[in-house]
Amino acid sequence: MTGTAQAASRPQITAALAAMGELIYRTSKAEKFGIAQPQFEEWVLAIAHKYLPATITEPEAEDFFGNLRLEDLALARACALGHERAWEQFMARFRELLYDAALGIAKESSQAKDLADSIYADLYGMNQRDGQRVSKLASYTGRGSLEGWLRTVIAQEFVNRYRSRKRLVSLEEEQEEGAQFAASAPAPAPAGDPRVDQAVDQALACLDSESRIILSAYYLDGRRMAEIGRMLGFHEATASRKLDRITKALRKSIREGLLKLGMSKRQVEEALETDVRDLGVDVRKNLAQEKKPPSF
Amino acid sequence: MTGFSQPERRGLERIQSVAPDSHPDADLLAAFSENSLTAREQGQVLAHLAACSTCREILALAGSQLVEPVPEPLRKRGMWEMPLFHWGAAAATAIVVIFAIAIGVREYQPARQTAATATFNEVAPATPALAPQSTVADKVTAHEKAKQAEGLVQPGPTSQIAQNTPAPQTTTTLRAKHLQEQFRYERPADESQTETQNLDATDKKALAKDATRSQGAPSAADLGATKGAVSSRDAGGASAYQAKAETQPAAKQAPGAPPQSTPSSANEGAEVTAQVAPLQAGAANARNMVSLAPLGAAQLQIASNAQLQRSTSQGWENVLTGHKILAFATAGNRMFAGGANGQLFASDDNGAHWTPIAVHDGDTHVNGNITQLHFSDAQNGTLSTSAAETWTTSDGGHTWHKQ
Repeated sequence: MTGTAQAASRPQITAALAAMGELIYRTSKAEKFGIAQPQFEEWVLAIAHKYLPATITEPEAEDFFGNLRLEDLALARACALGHERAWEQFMARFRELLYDAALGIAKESSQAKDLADSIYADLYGMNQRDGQRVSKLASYTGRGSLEGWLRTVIAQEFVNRYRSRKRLVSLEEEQEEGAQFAASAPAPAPAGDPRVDQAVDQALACLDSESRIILSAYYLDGRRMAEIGRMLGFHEATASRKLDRITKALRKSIREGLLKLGMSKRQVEEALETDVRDLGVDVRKNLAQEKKPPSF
Repeated sequence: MTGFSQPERRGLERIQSVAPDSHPDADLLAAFSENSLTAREQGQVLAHLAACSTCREILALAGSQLVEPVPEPLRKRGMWEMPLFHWGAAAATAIVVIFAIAIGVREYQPARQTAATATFNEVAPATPALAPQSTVADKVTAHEKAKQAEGLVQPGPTSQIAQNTPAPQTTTTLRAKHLQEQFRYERPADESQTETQNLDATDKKALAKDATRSQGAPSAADLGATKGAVSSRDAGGASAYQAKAETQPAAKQAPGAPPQSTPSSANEGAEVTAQVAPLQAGAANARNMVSLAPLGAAQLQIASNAQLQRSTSQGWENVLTGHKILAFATAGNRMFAGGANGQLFASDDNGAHWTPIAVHDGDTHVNGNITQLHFSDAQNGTLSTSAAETWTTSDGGHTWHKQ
């Protein structure tokens, strides 16, 4: 959609930008990178059209513009255009962060360096499309800080690399070892009472998104409380309390649902026995002899 | 912790299904981490994260080096979650307050105190934190009595204040002076040891931390360490100090203090009490109390649409409406706000009223928007503009000179 078409489709955004345009431009300090006001306003308008719904009001659009990280946006877009001074400023601010963040994510220095160098190449625009330099910084929209965006980009690249490498290693191992007998398909799990799945699905559907994230992150992803807390913006102690509360509430809801569906209390308890993975039981310890047999 | 059953685990696995093209981009994920999204977008991202392990992993990795959020105040879960507890706490506070008034009235000269207290009770805003029905005056007296009961404060100062304070022109002045005198009181040296012995381990730890902490807003570590030491009985005094200090013109302010949100329940009053915990634990460092500015004069903030807001007992109120404000600073008892087109304003009454200040040096006027304001003390400050200009003042902002 061209700028004119965008302006026509959502006049309230255009009106809000017209009212705040000069303030936005001056706050961004884009002028020092040689970016003209109309150019910068065009970028901001495109960002607004990307994220704002059609029903936005002018005051809401003003709030949206007010929340953008305008200085970071100007810096990122100037870097994407190849402005040398912008790059100097970018490297001064983010060079160490780039490598530190990669090390924090990859946990291993050579992998971290590889990751950081790859990200840097993407940011600088080493790749070209149709003879044009393509910088990843051109996609930064200023919704969050440039630092937070860089961390997320590094994490995304790491996840993508790790997953593709995992598949690659598996393929190489298979080829080296030659033909293998395929493992027999696992025996299908015994068909459980469909009422259990029904009650579980209903109970999970009643939970809010944050509760489902906490449960999934802990029981499926194996995340620690501190990680869950940082993901969602609270302390690990809070995450622990929330998890306990949510798990109990879920169990109670499922029980009530199963009883309503006609199961007996005993059947409900049997169906909801705790998974051994969550028991924290040391089977080896429990099976070992308590004391050595007396020596002769 | 309650375990998880296989059916529950399978249920979670069933909801992990996401269309590959619906992942939020890096901007949205970063903005989500920084709480910069609108409520609608926040809901959308949360719903996606609940069903997408990939994005959860990215978010966890990206946030792995961020500073850990400050823990919430410790509380007894069972009791605190019972609505009956709040009413019980309010009733207990009311009973303590009634006794405190009865005892407190006797310590002041009858003629002077009766008039002052009666007037103050009429005008003092009710503190919303714990007992909305009691007044600030009641809470200050209750706080004072609580500290006396702990053996941290001698009852002497109040009677001394009553004797030494001249006839007040306003009740605010009397209450402000009372607070200043209370916190400026230094106990004899031989009482320090007894006081320390009376403190439990948590208070001693907070005491030690307070002794080494620099002036200004308590750090996140301080809040985390001392919040657990706060009891409900102290919340009243804390709220009183905050509410009263807002109307105390001479109170010092700490730069950059975070804005206070109005507590919506007794439990959240712990947020207020946490900031006063250093006061209690640091009783031996009484001189530092007045300078603990988080509970000082009105707080300012700039809303997302460049609207300047001032904290009041009813919440945030817009000030300087119609003006786009980009920076503010405090200099002693004065507040400054600057913004679009070089406009500068000053307030001497905690942001209630503002006076425009012309920033010019002879025929040279300021260019651009004022984007930064800083005062090193009450007299010396600088401002910077979007036109890369720097102006300084050495007379508390009355006159400015371009650098």
